[in-house]
Amino acid sequence: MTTAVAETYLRVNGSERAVQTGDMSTEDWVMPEIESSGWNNGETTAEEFGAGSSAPAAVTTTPAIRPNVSAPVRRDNLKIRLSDRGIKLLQQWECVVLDVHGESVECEMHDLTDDSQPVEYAEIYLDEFNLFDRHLLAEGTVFYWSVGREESKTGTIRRYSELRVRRMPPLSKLRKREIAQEAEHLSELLKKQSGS
Amino acid sequence: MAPTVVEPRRQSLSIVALGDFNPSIFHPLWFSANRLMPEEETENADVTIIQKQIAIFSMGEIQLQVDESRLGLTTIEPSKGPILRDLAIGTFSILEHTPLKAIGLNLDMAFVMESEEAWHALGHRLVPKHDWVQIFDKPGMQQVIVEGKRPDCEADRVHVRVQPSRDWGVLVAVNQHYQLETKERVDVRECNREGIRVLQDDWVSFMAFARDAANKLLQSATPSEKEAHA
Repeated sequence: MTTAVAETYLRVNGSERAVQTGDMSTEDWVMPEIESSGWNNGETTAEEFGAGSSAPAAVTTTPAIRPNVSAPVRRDNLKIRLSDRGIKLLQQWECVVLDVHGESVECEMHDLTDDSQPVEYAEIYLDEFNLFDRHLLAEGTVFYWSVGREESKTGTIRRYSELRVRRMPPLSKLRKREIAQEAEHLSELLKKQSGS
Repeated sequence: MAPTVVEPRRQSLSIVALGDFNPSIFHPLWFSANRLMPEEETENADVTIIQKQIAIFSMGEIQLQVDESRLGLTTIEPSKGPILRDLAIGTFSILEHTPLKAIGLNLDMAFVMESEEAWHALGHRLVPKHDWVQIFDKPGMQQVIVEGKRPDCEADRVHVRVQPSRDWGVLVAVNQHYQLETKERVDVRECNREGIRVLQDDWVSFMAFARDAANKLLQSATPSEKEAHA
């Protein structure tokens, strides 16, 4: 293999992409398509690799943003900032709150890391939750429990555990009405089936 | 030689939607006002730019980039995957009249091979060199993209991209793409709902598929398979 120390993008099909040459920075090897260029890297447009294809379609990879604005930002700003820690996720559960009593939360846990694992049950201290999440805890609330190892840049290893409550907007009136109609329709079908 | 450790050093999860967006409405406080993110995180958001044509900011370890035709949500924290998905579902639920044309699930994983030999072996296996050495000296793989379809998955196509990088690094990027707007599906709300269904039903299996794809590609990269160098 060979690494791309400098990349040259050619103008293709009259696209607005100018010829560009960008040297890789020291962190480029980590996520080259995200970090090496704020505007043009990481995109896979039809012009790029769909050339010759009968039906080149727009694609949905990491966002490629080419605004026609004299944006008051420098390209350097448009990078994903790498955190100064790395988390190795060992296990993650989606949990459904069964009950909140006193200082603890009773929940049903579904393993997201390995869905062949059986459902488990746990009781978690309320203190373990983020302050901004506690008021959301009630029967039926969904939260995620992530467990792993956190490694700092200096090599320090810590255990990592995070509880995070799922946030969803309330259903719109229109959507509620549609769901009610769908339920009514299903109910009528069931009635017909049981009657026949 | 010990097998390659197929544990990514870094990864990036992203959900990208194509459609017609109004970037100026995307503000961190919009997300907390709509109960999609806690206020504590949106108040501390790192805003790069919010203009009529483009908005870029990060909040709670999730980065949002949106222009008039594309919206992308990205995180490099593996634990934030479900939060990222929920944020996308919540956003599209609220913007139910925003036309969505396509949606893509992306997992990019950066690996480091255990040796230079293993690194070259992977390149030689994915792009055999016997044809290329007749054309020029020292042919080297820059990037390989393979398109396919997954059984039992309604995605229109899946791309797996393998790209070498410095210090024996290898990037494996998987993109699962869904065309939401089709000849049969033109209604905006129907497209929107299909996008939400994709996120609800296919996210977990996509993640497992992408990791498995990287595992299979890298595990097979043994130096014994190495072909003749240029």
